[in-house]
Amino acid sequence: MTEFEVQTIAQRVLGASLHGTSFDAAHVEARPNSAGEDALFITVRFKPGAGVTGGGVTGEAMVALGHALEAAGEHRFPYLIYAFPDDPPPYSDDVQAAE
Amino acid sequence: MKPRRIPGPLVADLIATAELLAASPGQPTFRQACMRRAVSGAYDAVFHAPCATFSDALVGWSKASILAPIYRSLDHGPVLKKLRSREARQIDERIERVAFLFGSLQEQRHAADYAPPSPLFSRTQTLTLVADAQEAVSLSSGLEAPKRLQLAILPIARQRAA
Repeated sequence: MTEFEVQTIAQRVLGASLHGTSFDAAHVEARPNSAGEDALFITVRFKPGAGVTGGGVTGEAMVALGHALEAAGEHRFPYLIYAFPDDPPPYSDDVQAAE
Repeated sequence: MKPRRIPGPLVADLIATAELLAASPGQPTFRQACMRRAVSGAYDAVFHAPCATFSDALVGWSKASILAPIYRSLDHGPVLKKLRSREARQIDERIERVAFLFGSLQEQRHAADYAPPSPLFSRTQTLTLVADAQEAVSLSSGLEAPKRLQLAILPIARQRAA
């Protein structure tokens, strides 16, 4: 499948699975994983104000996405990369230190 | 039959350590080092969970002197492969969720441990990954004893060569 086709499925499935978590958009990049296997890296972008998403929700989203891709003939593993726009860039001065 | 919690404190303590690291204050580069360790530690918890539950199911946690070879026999790649297998899914549907979380965290851990110095992980992202690890551990510990035993056998069973 093309990245666009995978992205279409990801946007639909993650939009449904992550409903209520301030999910915004999915962006797909096809590249090898650390073991050199063909894989899909899906950046899951959340809206401003989104907090930590519970593992139960993301776990179910991963399974739903995996099933949807498999049903469409896609067998590359879909890795989810979480992106939170409110987080300061990791190397910036972070005034919100742990409290 | 009630599921038995994961034996030993290591898995829970690795999650707790990851949470503390993710919340670390300090200079930006120090915080990024903490995020990397948090992600790595969260994955370690997810990996040690099957090590503990499988060796407990096969040998018994109280037999500490003979447990180690089974505990140490599990390897990262083969464990993931077995968790993702059809046989594992047939044992319990929760295992598929564990497999996806395990696979995803394994890749993140590889980046955390081996990627060149760079701002890889933000705080909420790290905390969400730790939550993923906690979920994988909870799902693993929620399996009933017979299913744990069935799952424990998968990584060590080999087909006889023809």
